[in-house]
Amino acid sequence: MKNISDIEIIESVLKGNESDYTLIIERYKDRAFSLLSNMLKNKLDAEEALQDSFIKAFRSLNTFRKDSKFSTWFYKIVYNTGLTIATNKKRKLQMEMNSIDEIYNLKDEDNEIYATSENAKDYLIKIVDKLPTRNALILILFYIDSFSLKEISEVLDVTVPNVKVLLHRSRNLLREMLIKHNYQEEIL
Amino acid sequence: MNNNYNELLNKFIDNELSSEEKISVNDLLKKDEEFKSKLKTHKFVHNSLFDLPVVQAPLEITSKIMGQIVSNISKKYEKHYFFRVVLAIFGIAFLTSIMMFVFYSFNIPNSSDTLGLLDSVKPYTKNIIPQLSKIFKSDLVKSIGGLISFIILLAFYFSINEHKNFKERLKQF
Repeated sequence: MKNISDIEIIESVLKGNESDYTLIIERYKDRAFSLLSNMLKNKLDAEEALQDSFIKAFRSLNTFRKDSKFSTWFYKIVYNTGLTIATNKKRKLQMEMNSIDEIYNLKDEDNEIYATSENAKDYLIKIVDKLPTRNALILILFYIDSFSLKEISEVLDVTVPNVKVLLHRSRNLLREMLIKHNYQEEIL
Repeated sequence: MNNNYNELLNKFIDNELSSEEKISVNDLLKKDEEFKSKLKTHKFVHNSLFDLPVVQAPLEITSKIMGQIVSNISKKYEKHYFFRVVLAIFGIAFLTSIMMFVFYSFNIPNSSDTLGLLDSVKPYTKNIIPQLSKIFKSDLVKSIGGLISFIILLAFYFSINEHKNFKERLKQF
């Protein structure tokens, strides 16, 4: 099943084998759910957004251009659905940070995360969840989904240099947070 | 200095250092302990991010999504099917009325019942019926009638066949 490409599955679905769409759902549901959970910070909303995303993608399958990557096209739908649900639920998303100082506003939360973290890696993973939406999504798409900067820029509808700046800024911030808590002793 | 460090560290991680920058990084690694420590921490961040956890979607999510998709498809087919059935009924009714008319026109001289009925409308149909009879007796009209009957039967067959296929596809879910 893993050998079948996304395009082959989509062609089969478009030929009338709608049940083959389960292969697409199985392939992307967890990673898309990770992205939406990070965006919406609520499992129920993330589940609703996930369902909507797959249904929207199914309805628009005939508009998908097969010369592009399905994952990029699909994640664009996921991201936009997440934004719509956040707007409908009147949830304010902090899209990105302009400087590292902004994260220090999370002082109480940061102390709590630090207190409950077992080690540097555990702390790092927990703090990613507290990053502004766009910064966190760029890290998820870059490190989990192995997207290129160009693909990320297409999904989030921002320029490639902007994606690069946000990626670098996020890495710098995470490094500084580790240094702030003296984790570098453990790392070195 | 800090911004300069940040740029070098990220370029190092992304393998984008120019030959000049490589030299300056090597120099800094030898002389500057702070830079060395930052580089190690930066590498740690980069490597750890590959292990970001993937949150598992709820178990029944696939069946929920497919359920919604199937119900949407069913509604779409129901609409189309209803439209086709209505069209087919009208088509069949139209064809039947034409065939009945042709049949009675051919049998006018032999049927006393039909003659009785025609007598009452004779003043109105005096001129029309013989003309129509002439038309319907022609081979061309017979051929067209036959062809239309065949097309309607064929459409009926395809309509039933499509419905059968749709039911089979529903069973797959």
